[in-house]
Amino acid sequence: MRPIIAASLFVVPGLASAQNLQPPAGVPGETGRFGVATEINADNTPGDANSSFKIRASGSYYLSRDVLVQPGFVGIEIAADSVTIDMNGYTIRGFFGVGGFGIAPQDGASAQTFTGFRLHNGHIREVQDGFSARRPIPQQGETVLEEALVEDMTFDVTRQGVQLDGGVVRRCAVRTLGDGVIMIGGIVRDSSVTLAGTGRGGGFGLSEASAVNCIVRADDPTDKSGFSGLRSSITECTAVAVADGFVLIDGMAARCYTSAPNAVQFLGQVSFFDCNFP
Amino acid sequence: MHASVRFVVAIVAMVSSAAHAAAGSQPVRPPAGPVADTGRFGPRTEINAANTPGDNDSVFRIVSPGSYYLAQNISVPAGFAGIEISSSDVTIDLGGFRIAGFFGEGGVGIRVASQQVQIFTNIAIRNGIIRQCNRGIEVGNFGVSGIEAHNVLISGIKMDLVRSGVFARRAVIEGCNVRAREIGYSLIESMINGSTAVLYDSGATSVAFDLAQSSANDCTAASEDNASGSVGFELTTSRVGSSQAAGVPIPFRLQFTSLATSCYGIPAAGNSVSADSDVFDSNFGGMTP
Repeated sequence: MRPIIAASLFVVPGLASAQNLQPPAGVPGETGRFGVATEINADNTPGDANSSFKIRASGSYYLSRDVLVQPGFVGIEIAADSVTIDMNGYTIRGFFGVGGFGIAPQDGASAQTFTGFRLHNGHIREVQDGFSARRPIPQQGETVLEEALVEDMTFDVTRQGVQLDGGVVRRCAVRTLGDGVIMIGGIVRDSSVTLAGTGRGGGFGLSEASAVNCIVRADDPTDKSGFSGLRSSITECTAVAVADGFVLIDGMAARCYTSAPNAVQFLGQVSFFDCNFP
Repeated sequence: MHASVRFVVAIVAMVSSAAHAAAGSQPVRPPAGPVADTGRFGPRTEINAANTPGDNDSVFRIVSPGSYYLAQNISVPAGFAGIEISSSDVTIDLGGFRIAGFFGEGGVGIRVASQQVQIFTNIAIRNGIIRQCNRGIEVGNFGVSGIEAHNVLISGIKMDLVRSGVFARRAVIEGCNVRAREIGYSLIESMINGSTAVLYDSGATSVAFDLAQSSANDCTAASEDNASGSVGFELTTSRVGSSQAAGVPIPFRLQFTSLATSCYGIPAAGNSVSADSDVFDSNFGGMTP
């Protein structure tokens, strides 16, 4: 019986392909593939008192040049739902050691939550925080970019590379003097962190989040940690040239590897599967 | 308190602090006036003799940060590099074009270079073909010259008839295919995903994936000639997962506390696993370390 069903799955499409094409009546719909995008510049997306540029409306945006971030400013501030930024291979650049954010939600009079943000294809460097999904509002809480997607990016920063509140980070390379990727919910995969400098630093910090196929290494292993997870799962990840490999409070690690002298520390209910922790 | 424990505590502290139009069914109504730039083909810099002139050992040379693209194929004379990168914050989109050397006469497809010892950061190289070069992409010299690029993304590059494919340190590599005579990928502190290396005309020192303090996932190593002594995956203090090596005399060689999970490596007799390395959920032909 099964072979007959399987064979029919191949036969039916074959019959369909032999028929004349019958396009649906009416005008074809918009596919979105060649939709209009907006250039990020002073005319289309003017900044405000503390941002180089600010996106105030939903839509697809792109860079056509590098962005310079003044000390303490945000390179691109987000103040709308459903925003996509194609950095088009360009760089958001700050001034080393004097603060500033690459991309962050707006700071306003009140806390807000924006969703549907997507960032890809560029570099962010020499700012304090590369991409931060949270922005504190004094006495109001925080403004949050929830469930964002960050992909195909490099970060070279002084404090924190990427911080997401849910969402996905993938194919990113982070070099940081502080912490690499911090996920509160969500998943980070296929990404790397280099812990530069001689101070304290952590590669991936996960809270109720997942890390898949990621790697951490440090210039100087002293006071550096690889993966830290709170109720999180860490799969197929690697920590080399760090002091502390994996630190878990509840959660699991599977098919992971470290060469760290303090390979594993854990509290609570933690499971390890198929790991090599020498 | 360990740094890592403080890191977890910091995360806990962070946690505690804590309209779609139905356009798809509408008729197309293009806006009046000229079509705006979509960004996909945005105003990047074309790699050519005017914008990125070469020097005495490069056809083209990039000396400023920016987003660059190829609009034509490049021929690489012996001893030259097709594209030399001497800057941080550079994105190169090869646009599907080809960088080709003259078989057996040397040359490098893309490399980082500088007049002085320097480490560049934030380099992305995408979407093209490199063939008949001595080395395909050289962005890590492993301390020999001190000139390297870190924080590198390499994706969608096909390298054919090269002596060696990619030399990189602190890179993320994805979706690349290499057909090489000596080394497919030589990586330090890097990660490679979804890529292949095929050895041709190989010898006893040929290696498809040579990994030190690195990880590989979903990769395939193969050999056209099955030359004695050639290796599929050579791991030193590294991890490999969901990968396979077939037709290579030594499919997997694990040493210095390495790890292989969900891998396939035949012929079994060729695999080599040091006592401090581990293999899980893999088919090494019945071999149990």
